[in-house]
Amino acid sequence: MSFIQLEDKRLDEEQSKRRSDNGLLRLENLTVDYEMDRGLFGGRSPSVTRALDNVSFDVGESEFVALVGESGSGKSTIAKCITLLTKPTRGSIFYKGKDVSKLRGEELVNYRKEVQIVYQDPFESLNPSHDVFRIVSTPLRRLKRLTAEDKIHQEVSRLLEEVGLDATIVMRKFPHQLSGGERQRVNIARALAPDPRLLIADEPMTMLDASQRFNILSLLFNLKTSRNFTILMITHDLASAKLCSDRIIVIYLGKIMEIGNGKDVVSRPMHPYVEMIMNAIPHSKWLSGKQQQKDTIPSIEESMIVRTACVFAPRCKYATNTCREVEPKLEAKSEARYCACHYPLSN
Amino acid sequence: MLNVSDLTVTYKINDKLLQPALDHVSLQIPGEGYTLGLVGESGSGKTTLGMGILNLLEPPAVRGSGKIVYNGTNIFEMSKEQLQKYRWHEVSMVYQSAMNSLNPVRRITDPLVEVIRVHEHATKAEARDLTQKLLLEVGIKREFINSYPHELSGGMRQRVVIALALALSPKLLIADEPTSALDVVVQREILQLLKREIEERKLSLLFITHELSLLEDLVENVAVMYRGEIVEIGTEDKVLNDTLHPYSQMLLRNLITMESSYEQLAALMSNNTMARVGGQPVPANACKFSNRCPFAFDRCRVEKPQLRETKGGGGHKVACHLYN
Repeated sequence: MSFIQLEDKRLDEEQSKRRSDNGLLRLENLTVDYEMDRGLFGGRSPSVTRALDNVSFDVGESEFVALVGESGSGKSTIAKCITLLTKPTRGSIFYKGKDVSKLRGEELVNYRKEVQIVYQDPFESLNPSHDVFRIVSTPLRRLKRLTAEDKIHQEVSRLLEEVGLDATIVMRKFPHQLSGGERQRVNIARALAPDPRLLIADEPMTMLDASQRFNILSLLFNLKTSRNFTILMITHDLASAKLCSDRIIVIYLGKIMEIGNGKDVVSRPMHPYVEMIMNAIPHSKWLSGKQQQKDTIPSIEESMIVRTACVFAPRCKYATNTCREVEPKLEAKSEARYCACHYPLSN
Repeated sequence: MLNVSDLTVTYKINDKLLQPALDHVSLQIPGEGYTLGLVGESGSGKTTLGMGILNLLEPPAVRGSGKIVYNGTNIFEMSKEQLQKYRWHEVSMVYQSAMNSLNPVRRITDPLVEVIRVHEHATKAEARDLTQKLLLEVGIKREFINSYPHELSGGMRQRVVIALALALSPKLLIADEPTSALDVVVQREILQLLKREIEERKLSLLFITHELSLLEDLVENVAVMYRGEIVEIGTEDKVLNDTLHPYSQMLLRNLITMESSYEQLAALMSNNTMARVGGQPVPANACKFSNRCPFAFDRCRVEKPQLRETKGGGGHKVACHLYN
């Protein structure tokens, strides 16, 4: 082994040690391409859509991180990569310092146990032919390998009570007999069953009534405190992200635009994209004001016709030629505050 | 113009189980340019009311008492020809899911051309012209006009659906949660489009939503529905700022907004029982909200409150014993 190789190895080890020290999960240069339009028999050369482009961030132990973005931003792809449902084209994910794509056997089972996900749609993510008991007990049998029936029963009751459901009432009910909020609670109970260290919540509130959203949000927040685990919440709603996250990561068309403390990002956005979302939040004069007659902000797909260096440039009111030609890097603007923009808003 | 009086609709689940959806609802759309936001949680009956106005209720929905009168004619007694004219010429609807309201194998222009040709007896060329004009008006760019629905984003599809609803220049537009599947930025654009169209065309609007905050700056009047009953109705300013019914207050306060803090919302939740849905069933002669209401007193449990004008007047009505 040459000196350089040895040095590389030492650096690698040092790096992985550092990773395991300060973070639970780390995404490194994650890139995901989806192949589209292969034609009926795969004859056409595929066009490639880049869902994620060099995304790197880390999530600390017992942190509440909110990943904010519109549809098509790639936020659900991140969840799929972390849960090993999609293979990244490039880049890696490290969990407790280990590359998750290399996990095998018992280690993999353990990873699946520790990383759980709650999906967006409580109406479709529960098997309609299974009752609540069966839904929540399955991970107990499969992942925690419990076999004693009375123990399983007891565990299921405890989990249902933990998410605010009356176990005696809902245990034998089927999903169609529950309301949207109750279904989402069952989903959360199922995810909690194997005692996860990281809970990914993919838009857990969007399908619910506005008045019910806070209940689910506060449930997540309280679980984070009582179980002391990590939550990665994916959402398109900045207001709920601000409400209880330690950190907000804003993503747009597969690239990270801004990272920062929840309250800072919302009160003093640096990236024009964040400002644009903020302006779209209902308030007393949000529809009148400066009536932009027919020239609306280009939609995502319109903005994708011309590829620009900064992906947001076609929709950005501050964009200059620099933005169209030079890609802005995600840079630290102040402590724990990152922004990918040539002209960050100063406020 | 449109007068819904005493409308009752029940869903018949099986011979024994009847689920009331609308419970003696009365509502007026007095004339052109009147905009009303109808707010309620899922299951409150707001969509049933929208479908009822178009006379599109089908089993398991069973219509009980009540009638809907449009310009002097009861729509439930209209002939097939009358109904055909009534729907889309007079009253049209924008549905919640733009994804499902367009035929995936037909270009977005096709349904528009068809509807204009059939109803307006126009030639193909005239219909095409009108279609193009309409699509441009609702903000579809020229290069997207010949697309298929799957080539468009949710927001663009919703624009197409709005164009379709406007095609025959109706007098009343019913919009049933038109933005609930959209991102915030797109949502604002779609609502701006709606607002512009109703102002320019002097349309009346019935906007159905579960998000009270969307109604700000969009409609002039707001009605709040709870379990098939209208519990509060009045001008936007009165209902949103001078909110009376405890249920409306709950809808308003439970919202996650930029200004709300976690502690504030958590405190609201812990010191009242309103946040919990369901609870004990309420007897038929009680206020339907009495089992969740923090202000409920004895009278609420034995006597049903009627929708009455408040002391403040100005057409602000509330169905609550606290104010009568």
